[in-house]
Order: sequence, then structure tokens, then C-alpha cells
Amino acid sequence: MFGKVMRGLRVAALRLVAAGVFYLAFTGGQAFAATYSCGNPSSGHCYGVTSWREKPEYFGAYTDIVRAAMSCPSGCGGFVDDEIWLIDDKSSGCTGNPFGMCWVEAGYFFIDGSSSAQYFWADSRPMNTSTFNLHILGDTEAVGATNHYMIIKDARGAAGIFQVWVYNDSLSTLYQGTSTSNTMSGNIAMIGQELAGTKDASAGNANFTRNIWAVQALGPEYVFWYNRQTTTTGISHQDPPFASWTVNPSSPPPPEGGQFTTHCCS
Amino acid sequence: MRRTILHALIFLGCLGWVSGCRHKEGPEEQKKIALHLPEGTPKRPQGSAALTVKPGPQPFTKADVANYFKTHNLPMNMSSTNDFQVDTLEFLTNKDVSDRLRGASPGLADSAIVGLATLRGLFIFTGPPQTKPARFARAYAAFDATSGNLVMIGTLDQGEQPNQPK
Repeated sequence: MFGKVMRGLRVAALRLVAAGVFYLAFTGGQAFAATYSCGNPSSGHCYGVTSWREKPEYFGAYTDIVRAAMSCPSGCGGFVDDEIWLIDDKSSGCTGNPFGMCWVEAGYFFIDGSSSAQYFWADSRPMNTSTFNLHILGDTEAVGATNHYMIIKDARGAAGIFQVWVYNDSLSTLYQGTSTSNTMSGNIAMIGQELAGTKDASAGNANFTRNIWAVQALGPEYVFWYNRQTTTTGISHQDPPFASWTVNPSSPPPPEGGQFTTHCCS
Repeated sequence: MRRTILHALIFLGCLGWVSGCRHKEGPEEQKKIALHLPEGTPKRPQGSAALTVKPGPQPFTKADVANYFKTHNLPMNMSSTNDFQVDTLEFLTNKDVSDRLRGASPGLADSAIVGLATLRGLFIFTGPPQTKPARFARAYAAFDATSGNLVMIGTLDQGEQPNQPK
């Protein structure tokens, strides 16, 4: 009888170990609760990003992001996202605003306590009132969907306009926003993941492809004239978020501008 | 022997020619390519589920907004919900809200009604890497009056910041 019980326990233990090995192999262990320090008002958030800074002006920036599984359950204390930024950290109006820089950003995030991931865009403008504005657009498409994120300076009318688009090929997802009174001149294009809070967020592998930049502002022909990013830029990652180049952007396309990959948080 | 040297020279010449071509395709020589912008009518922003809309002249009240912010922080804000209070709630057209916010629009139709709540206390936001986290004394939250959803948030001014983050 005792031998039978022992044999049963051994089998159960073996199954448990096998299940653990299987789980780690196929999920990367991402469901394990993770703790991190990315919510401190002094040090700020954590990032897994890459950026391009070699051109005098990036008139716009664009990337395709494959929607990754993402979560930030109630109590995570912040959010996790995948996104693109166009940044000005040089112009005096921008260095003089409360953040010390201007930007336009677009992506998708999962905020503390939400039931789903959502598309968003935001801007920081060269002014001291109404500087930062965050626009929550709506629920994202299913995991695995590819969405296009485009930001471009608009030269068709008054100065200080940037257009933002979030869309898919069929245009079943099509959001548009306009950043106004924003006279920034983008000198940095950046892609990657931002993490805020202290625990339990997670995000699967998100691939950023078609990393391209606008060589001129938007004109009446209504075209995003672009070059692809070709330099393998440095990566800043705080582990979490984790980030790497999975296809070097200096390789001939496809994909244009390489493939950058992020995930979070364990 | 001469033939081998000749072949080697021809091979090296070809190699140089090919690498010269590769150089010409480098980043400085890219021709600009056209990507057409998406055409069609953009979707109305749905925002994030927040308040329950009630029938009658006022879809939700300042107390409803205050209750919401007892359990929900402003998205991306690094201070806590204990660090701020609801100051005012007004129902304005999307265009009026945009005028108040120096052109920042909730993204609805000009005549759509928006519940604009102003908030007072301490708010801390940051941006991409190397941003200095910035502190503000006043912020706002814009709710779609039709759905009660939160469609936009942002900062108003830095003013006097009475609280410190916990």
C-alpha cells in the first residue's frame, strides 16, 4: 500500500516537472508575476527602445506593429505599451516646456484595471499650459493583427500641425488625430516599449517592421514620401522591458527598416 | 601561372565593382518612395469605459466623476488618486473644449457634447526616455457625454503644487 502511494507521488512529481518544463518552453514563463521598479516619480518609467538621430529633421515616422498579447491587471500601478515617437529635444520652445522636450506618439497600451488593450496617441507641445494631451481611441484588434502607425508634419496649411494615423490594410481600423500649435522639428524617431508601475504587467513579443521616416512634410499630393531606416541603432532596455533587433535594418529589405522586437516583463 | 594571376585580377576587379554598386545603394543614395495616406472616414474615438450615462438633462454629475477617480487614476499619471480632486465639471461642445485647450481636440464632431472635468492637486507625467518627469497642479479629463467614456486627458498648468507624491 505504502509503495503504491510512493509510486503515485513520484508520478505526480514527474508530471509536475514535465508540465513546468513544457510551460517554460512554450510561454517563456510570462504568466509568472513580475515585479519591477518603473513607477518612481523621480526616475520615471522603464523602456525597451531604439532610436534614430542622424538626420537634421525627421518630418515624420512610421512603423508596423504586430499586436502582442498584453496585460496590466488591477494593481499593476501603471501601464505597458508598444509605440512610436517623433521627438524634438533641441528647439528652444520644446526644451523650455515642463518636460524639456516635445513629441508626438502613437501606439497601443494596457492601463491598470482595463479590460482590454487600446489604441492611443499623445503629444507634448512647446507651451507651458495644455502641454500634454493623451487621446484614448478605442479597443485594439485581436492579438496577431498588424497595424500601421504614422506621424507626419503637415505643411498644407498653418505651421505647427502634425497628423497621426492608426490603421490597418482594410481600413476597418482607421483613427486619425491632429496635434496643433506644435511647432516642433522632429530630430529623433523612436520605437519600442514603455512600462510604468511596479508589478504584474506582461506583454508578448511585438515585432516592429517597416521602420521608415518622412523625408519631407505632407503636401497637397497627400503622400508620405519616405526613406527606410538603414542604420542599426543602439538599444536602450531596462529588462524589463526587453528589446532587441531580430532583423538588422542595414539588411536589404524586406522588411524595410529591419525588425525590432520587444516583450515584457519576465 | 600567368593565367591564374589574370583570373585573380579579374575576380578582384569584379569584387570591387560589385562592392562599389553596394555602396551606391547606401543610405545616402536612397530615392524617396511614396506611401499613400489612408483614405476614408476615420472612426469616432470610443475612449475607455468610465461613467454610466443617465437619462435627463445631465448625463453624469461632478460626484460621478469624483467617484470614478476614487478608483481610477488618470491614464499615465504617476501621482496617486489621493493626490487630486475634481474641481469643476462642464458640458461643452467638442469645439469649445478644443478652444479651451489651445487646439487639443477630443476628436469628436464639433457639435458633440463633452463633459470636461478639471482636476486640482498633483499630477506627474513623463514621456520618452530622457524626459524629465513634470509636475502639474491642474489637469483635465474629457468624457464623451453620449457614452460616458473617457476620451482624452491632459495637463493644464503647473501652478502651485500643494502635495508631494506618496
